[in-house]
Amino acid sequence: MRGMVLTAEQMRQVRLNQPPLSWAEQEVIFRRNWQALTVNSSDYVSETASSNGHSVKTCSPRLPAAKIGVVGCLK
Amino acid sequence: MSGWVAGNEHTVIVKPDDRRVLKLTHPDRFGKAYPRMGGQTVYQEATPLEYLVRLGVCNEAFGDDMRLEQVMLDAEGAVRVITSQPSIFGIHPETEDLHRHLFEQGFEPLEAVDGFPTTNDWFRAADRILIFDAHSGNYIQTDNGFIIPIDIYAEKVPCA
Repeated sequence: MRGMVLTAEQMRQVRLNQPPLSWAEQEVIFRRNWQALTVNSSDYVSETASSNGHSVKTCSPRLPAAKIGVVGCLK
Repeated sequence: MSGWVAGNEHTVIVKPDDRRVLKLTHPDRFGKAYPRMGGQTVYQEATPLEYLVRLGVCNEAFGDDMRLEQVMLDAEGAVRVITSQPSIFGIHPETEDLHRHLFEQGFEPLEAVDGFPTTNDWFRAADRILIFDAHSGNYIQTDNGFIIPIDIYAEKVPCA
């Protein structure tokens, strides 16, 4: 809302009430994560599982610098 | 998808499952610090503590929810601080809209010519919050028009 001055608490509510992401958006996120974390796909170990009718591919990075970056790939 | 969360001092990873982003500082780099020496504000590299204090100020002043997740040593032995904060989606606001927003929030630019801000550094006297790097790339404008900071430098200036 243009011109509306938000308090810190109202800003917090805006942050916490973001709309849910679509499957397509999550796939975009995965691709961006991949680019941020790795030089090429050989830096990752991939596993595939099935959950709720969706194939879920989890990717574990090999590089120490990216140890925390376990991200999901949704197809 | 419109808009993205990014910054020059971090590697940013979005966690789609719980709609938070992870931010890794670059090795042995913790952003900037602007201590005042002899009445002058100077620039220097921030310490890890200064970096974390800055995040705390953003939580308090701008309703962010930044959390310290991990401090790690990378393969080269360099320190990287990992934090998370809520993801937020939208577009970067126009500079004119951002300036209007900052004035409405009670901030005044540290430098201006004929009333037009010529700096990205602003101060709010009411709670003595000083912000640096308040440019469009560090804000997101949501679909509802709210302008929310995502990656600004903030500090609380103690009373003299």
